[in-house]
Amino acid sequence: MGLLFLQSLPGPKVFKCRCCKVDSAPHDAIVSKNFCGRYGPAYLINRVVNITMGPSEDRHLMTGWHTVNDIFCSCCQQLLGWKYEKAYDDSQKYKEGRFVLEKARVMKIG
Amino acid sequence: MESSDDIESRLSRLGSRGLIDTTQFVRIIIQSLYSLGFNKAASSLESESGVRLDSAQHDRLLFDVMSGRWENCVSTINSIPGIDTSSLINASYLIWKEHFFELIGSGCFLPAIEVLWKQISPLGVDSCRVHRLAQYLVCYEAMGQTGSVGSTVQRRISLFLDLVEVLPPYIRVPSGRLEKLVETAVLKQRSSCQYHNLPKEITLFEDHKCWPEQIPSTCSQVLLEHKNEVWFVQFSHNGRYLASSSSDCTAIIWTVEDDDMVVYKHCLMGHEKPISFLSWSPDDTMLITCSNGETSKLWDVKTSTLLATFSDPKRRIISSCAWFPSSDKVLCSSSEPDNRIFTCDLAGNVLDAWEGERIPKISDLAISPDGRLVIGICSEKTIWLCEFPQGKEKVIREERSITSLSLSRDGQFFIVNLNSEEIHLRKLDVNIGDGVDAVFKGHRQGKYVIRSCFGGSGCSFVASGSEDSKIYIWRRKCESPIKVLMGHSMIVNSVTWNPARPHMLASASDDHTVRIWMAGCNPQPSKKLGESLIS
Repeated sequence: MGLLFLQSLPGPKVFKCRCCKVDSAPHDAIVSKNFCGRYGPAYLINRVVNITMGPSEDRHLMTGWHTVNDIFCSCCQQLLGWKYEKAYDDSQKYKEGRFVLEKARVMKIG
Repeated sequence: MESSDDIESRLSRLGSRGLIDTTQFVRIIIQSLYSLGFNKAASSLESESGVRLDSAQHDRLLFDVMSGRWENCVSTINSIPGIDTSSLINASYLIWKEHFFELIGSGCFLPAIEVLWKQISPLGVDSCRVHRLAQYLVCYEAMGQTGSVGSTVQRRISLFLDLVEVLPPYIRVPSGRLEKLVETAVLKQRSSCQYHNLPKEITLFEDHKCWPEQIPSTCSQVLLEHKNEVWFVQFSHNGRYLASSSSDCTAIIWTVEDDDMVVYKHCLMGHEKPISFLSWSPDDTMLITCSNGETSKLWDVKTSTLLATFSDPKRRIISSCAWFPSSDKVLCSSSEPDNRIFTCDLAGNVLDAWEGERIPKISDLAISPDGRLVIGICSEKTIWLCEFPQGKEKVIREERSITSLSLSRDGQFFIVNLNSEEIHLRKLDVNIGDGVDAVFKGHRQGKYVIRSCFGGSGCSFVASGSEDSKIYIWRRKCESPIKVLMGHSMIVNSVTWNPARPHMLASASDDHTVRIWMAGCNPQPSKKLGESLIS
């Protein structure tokens, strides 16, 4: 579908999509390594690139109600995690605008 | 012969809003008749209308200046109604200065001192000028340097011309006034004309108005030869060929015939991966195709033979290339595993290279038509301008990622497409500031590389593809599009405007087609008149 515009990340350590190997997130944007995704351990990350977002959904997660958008790799359309759009609990507000990246769907380079 | 009273009482004001004073109007007509050389017509107009070209004060002043009656000059000037103080002072200063110089020239120093003392100093002009005049009293030779050479008559004539410039304009009609007024009106109409594309003669008989059909608006051809998504399309510099490249790993060259039909010429096969970029040589004899993740190839346009393959020993991806104006060298940028910018000749031999850790990844590259400036998009958010070969550099940071770059044909401006659905227009100059000259919005872009281009006569339009399968056309001064072309069924990746035929535009889309858009013709005004007469 057209010539995809793929951003490349400069840093020495980056995460790439396990399927299609496009850059997904820089290593230094990690906020926390102890998150729990739907399919296993996950990272909380400040910035991701080359993704497309799905529609907003309200979901009940382990930490409470949140409004999230699923994120997909823009190249191979694989589900990589989700983005926190809104948190309804005050203690969870720090997550807003950040992304959860499933460890199983990405690989660390560098 | 009607007397002037009749004329004036009949129509003292002209124009639909009564803004134009009849006497002034007749005076500028007389002046333009004189300047065109129709002296008899001009003087008979003067006598018939009773309006004289030059006012009474003008003639009196001319007579007094030429005969050297300075006191009379000053009193004439003082008697001009409506003159303001500063003009009065300037005019008096000029007159007395001339008197002063003539007295010195004839050796009468005492009267000169008197003039300086009694007439010039009380005027209250800038004291430096008065001091300088006093210097001339002492140093007589310095007068030769003020340019006051020539006979008395010549000096008095130039004094008179200086005087008229200082005095209010109704004393003497400025030369070329009627032509200047007409030209201002014509220029204003032309610049406010939204669709002004075809270089048409501007006629004085009717208001200049271009119709929306003068920019490409209807699809005249759909070219189906490609078997997969078409990613890039570009006309050659002379407008006679069109090249398109596709993800079916081929590029096709089309000929643009004299009747504006686009006809298939050759298919360039040989790449094994989709072709993402192509570039015409400045003399239009050669074409370079760069494919996604593979080598680039150089083709001859007339025979469609492969001339050379640029491959890299380290198997780097060549992402884009640009021709030097001499058509014998090419500048390429490549990446992965490490970034490299290199010049090579037509056989593929590398002539010069910049590589190393600090070289950024360049995704799009262009050279200005005169070959002096190189411009590249680095690391998606930075525009890098560099004077070639060694020279000043300038780095401009953009807020959002840049997907593509395009230069105007005169090499003065460039546009970049941003991921945030904006197109930014900037001046192509190393010395310029960081500000954007113009922003265009309205198209859709987010995931894909969408290309835009300059176009139209004088490069006064910008056109871009879009992810919603439409083509957007903007006028360079205006942020919103003036035209949206619909017809493609999938995203429009690239557009190109024919440099030689400003009524032709081509677009490439994911629906496997290349469409040619043409300008229509004007609706005939005479036809409308005929219809209204009949009804």
